[in-house]
Amino acid sequence: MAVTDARPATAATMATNRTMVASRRATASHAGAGPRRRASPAADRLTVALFSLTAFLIVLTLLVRQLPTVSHRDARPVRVLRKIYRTTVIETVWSAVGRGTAVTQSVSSSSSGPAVLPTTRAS
Amino acid sequence: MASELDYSFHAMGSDVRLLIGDPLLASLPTAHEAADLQHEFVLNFSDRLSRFRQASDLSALNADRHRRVVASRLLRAAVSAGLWAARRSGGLVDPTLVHALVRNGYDRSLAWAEPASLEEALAHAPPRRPARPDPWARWRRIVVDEGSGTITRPPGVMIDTGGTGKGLCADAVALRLGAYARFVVDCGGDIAVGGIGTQLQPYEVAIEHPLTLSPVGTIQVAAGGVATSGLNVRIWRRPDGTYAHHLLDPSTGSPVWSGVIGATALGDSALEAETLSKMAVLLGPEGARRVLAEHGGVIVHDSGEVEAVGPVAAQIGCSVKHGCAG
Repeated sequence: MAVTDARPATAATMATNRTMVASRRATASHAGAGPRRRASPAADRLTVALFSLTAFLIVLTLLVRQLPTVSHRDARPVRVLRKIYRTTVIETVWSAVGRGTAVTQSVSSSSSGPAVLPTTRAS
Repeated sequence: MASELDYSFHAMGSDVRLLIGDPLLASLPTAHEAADLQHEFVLNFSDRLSRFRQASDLSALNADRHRRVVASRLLRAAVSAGLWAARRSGGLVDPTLVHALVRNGYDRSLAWAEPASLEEALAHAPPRRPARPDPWARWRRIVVDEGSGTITRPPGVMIDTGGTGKGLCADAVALRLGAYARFVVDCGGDIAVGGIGTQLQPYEVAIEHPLTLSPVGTIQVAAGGVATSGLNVRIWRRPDGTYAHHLLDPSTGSPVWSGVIGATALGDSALEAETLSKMAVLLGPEGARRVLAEHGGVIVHDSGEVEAVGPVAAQIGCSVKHGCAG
């Protein structure tokens, strides 16, 4: 025997259907509210400002953390004890001693040692 | 303000350099005047002790057939210095090797000659071995008598003061500059340093590498001597294609190939430093370490590797165990 779903709608079933329709309407009404509902301009500016401030503070924190590292590892303090001025006059002359030997002579006015170090070498 | 004169000229087949500070007394000659005087002294020293000048005191002594010869004070001092070095080195630095030097081709001054390639010479050199003293030790039979002003030596023994001459000259000039605040006398790399000023502020002296000719480091010298001996300068190729140089093994009369191509030594005087540096080259690496241990020095091996020994090691950043590449 064939069974058909021709049962008459009961009051309870109808009530349930009504509830679902109402629920769909409510959902549709919420989804459509986004584009229509805008936050106030003051609130937007506040958000942007807070976001910028946060980013700035993060970058600042990173930089501050880097600073001690740089100063300890790479940057050595430079201390100037004194400035030394050297005046050197170099001249090559034929020796007063004679015999045609050439002499190179210079005078350094500082006590910081000769401009060219004396060098020990084979000869 | 203190000043320092830097004065250079050519003598003894080498470059000579004087650094002279201010005189300690106003009555002394100025640094310029002192340098001119020392220039004259060095030229005179060089002329009279050259074995390549016929008219020199040394040539006259070597040409004289008499056993006992009247000699000038300078010649007596130079021969005495050669004998001192021979005693100090146990006969390794021998002043009687003139015949062997001539036999090897060193019969004329090499002052302006282009040296042969040391690298090529090392590639063709015989197996390395340290030098030994001449068992006959002819230098022991040379007598310098200051009382009579004579030099006595067996007939036929010729004397060469070239091995110790530059060190002696540097010391002699240093003695004459004793009344100046600070000074350096550099006779072809044999250096004497002195003056009261150097006690507070020593001179920095650079050491030249015999292969690269660049400095291997610097050492601080307040007083005394520092000298370098090496194979890179007076080295030549013989007609048979073999190489020779001026540092001879007294036991064979042939150039020494010891495994050391250069050595720098410190000493109480330039003469001592020169003697020690020659000993170091002649003895090879093991002997060189022994010789240089007391005053300090630097050894350059055949490979070019540099090894600092004794007190010098801390100064130039190398050590005996950890040689630094040149």
